[in-house]
Amino acid sequence: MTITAGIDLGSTYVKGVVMKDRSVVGYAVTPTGEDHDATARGVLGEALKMAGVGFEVIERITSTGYGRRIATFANDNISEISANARGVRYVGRELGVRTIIDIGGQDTKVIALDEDGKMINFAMNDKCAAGTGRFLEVLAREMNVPLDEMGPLSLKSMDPVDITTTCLVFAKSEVANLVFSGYSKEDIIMGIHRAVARRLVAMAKKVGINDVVFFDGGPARNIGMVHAMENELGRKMFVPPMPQIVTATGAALIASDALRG
Amino acid sequence: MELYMGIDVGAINTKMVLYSPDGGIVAHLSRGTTVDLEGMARSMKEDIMEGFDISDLKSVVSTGQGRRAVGFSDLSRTEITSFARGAFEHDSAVDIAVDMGGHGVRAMRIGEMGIISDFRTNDKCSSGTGCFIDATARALNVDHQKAGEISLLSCSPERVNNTCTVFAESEVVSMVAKGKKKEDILAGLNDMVARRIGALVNSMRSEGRILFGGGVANNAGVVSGLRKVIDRDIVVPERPELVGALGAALLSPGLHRSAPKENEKMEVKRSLWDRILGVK
Repeated sequence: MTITAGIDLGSTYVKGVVMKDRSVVGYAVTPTGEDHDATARGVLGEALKMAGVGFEVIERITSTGYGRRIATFANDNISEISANARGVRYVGRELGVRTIIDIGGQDTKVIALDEDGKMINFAMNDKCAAGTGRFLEVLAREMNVPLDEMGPLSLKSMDPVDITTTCLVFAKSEVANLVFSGYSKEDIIMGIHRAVARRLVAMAKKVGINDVVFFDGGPARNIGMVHAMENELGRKMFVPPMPQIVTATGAALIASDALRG
Repeated sequence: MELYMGIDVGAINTKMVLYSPDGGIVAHLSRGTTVDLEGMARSMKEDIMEGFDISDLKSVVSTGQGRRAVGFSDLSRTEITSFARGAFEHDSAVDIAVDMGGHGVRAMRIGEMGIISDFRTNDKCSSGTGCFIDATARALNVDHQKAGEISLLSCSPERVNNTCTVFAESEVVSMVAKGKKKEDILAGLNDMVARRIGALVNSMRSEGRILFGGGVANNAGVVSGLRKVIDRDIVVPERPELVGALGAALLSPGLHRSAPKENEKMEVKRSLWDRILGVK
């Protein structure tokens, strides 16, 4: 029996996964706090509680995400791109995934895989908030709609508005103006999802899009976002049941790969 | 007294100027732009006209992002046209005029006769604009109008790594948590703004004088950063935020008819603008 853990220290959420013989037995997700290391320890503790095992039985821990070096208790760390690709190869095995679109809280990644699931190309945006989870989060707050309700609400839209600005700061005032002008919440929210989708798909096209497209990261839980993406892509995507923990799962697998040697 | 009104509906502030050919700017007013542009513009007009005779008001020209919302204006001009006109009025020897606004930076090359021969804008990204300063100053709990002076107290500016306004805001929060000094953070932010605007201006390869206007030009930290980044003669008008509104007022159709004759240079400029505007 081999028990490993993967911790994904993202800008917005810290995700932890505990694996027993390469099956997920525990996971946890917590908003990123001031103290990254403490948050990561807490997340690991919760994931272990769910798995019903203690810290001492973990043979290896791999951290990933932009705060990966802060998790002092990890044995090693790996870039989120590699961890994500590893996670997709596991979660999406037998699917033949060739393109991964991963939206994070403060960045976006598009990864191209070959037929064997090896990474051949990737693109990353961590310079601009447009097209990231933060874009959705800030505008949800601006509209006074809980983030989790954005998706279901947007599906009621009959006539989505066109968000013309790219920058999140400008989009904030644009949305305020749209609300003032009396546009319905659902039409504005669908417009927001489409704006994010436009950015993401433009980026994905540079890398090259091939079926099957795998969509993960926190915003992939948003059903409206998935619809907007599929619309913009003109093809279906595969969205895993737990899109937030794919990268942490990949990190846990990399830890167990390392044990196998 | 004949009066000409220029109203510049900016993304953050709306500026209004009353211009008289006899006395120059006789009144001006600035207010935070609200979502109800039309209502805000009307109430500003009422307030600025207090003490003046409304029948003296010959025309109203609107400019800025929200210019089309000003129902009572006779004419709308783009912010580039208006700013260039205002900058030329301020200093006819200017080669490049830079409007550092709340939501965008616009640099225009002004030819000998006041004609815009080239321009570059950044209105896609808020980095380096007024709202970048607003947002980061807010994260520091500093009045954005004081962001400039405070930054000048810094001895060792921090380096801001994020370009994006939203990410820089979080970076500032974590710098504060690490106990960095406000003046050092502000100096780092102002330097970044200066670097971004400086790069835009330097890409126009100017040999001449450069005028900086728009609300951001009130920030002494940014202006001093610009002096470092741009190795040229730099001019900043006393009320840099009013350049666009003044330019709009000066673009009033018919203004030339009552213009004083003694200023010959002004005559040349006006007839030129009339030609551009198609005024006979």
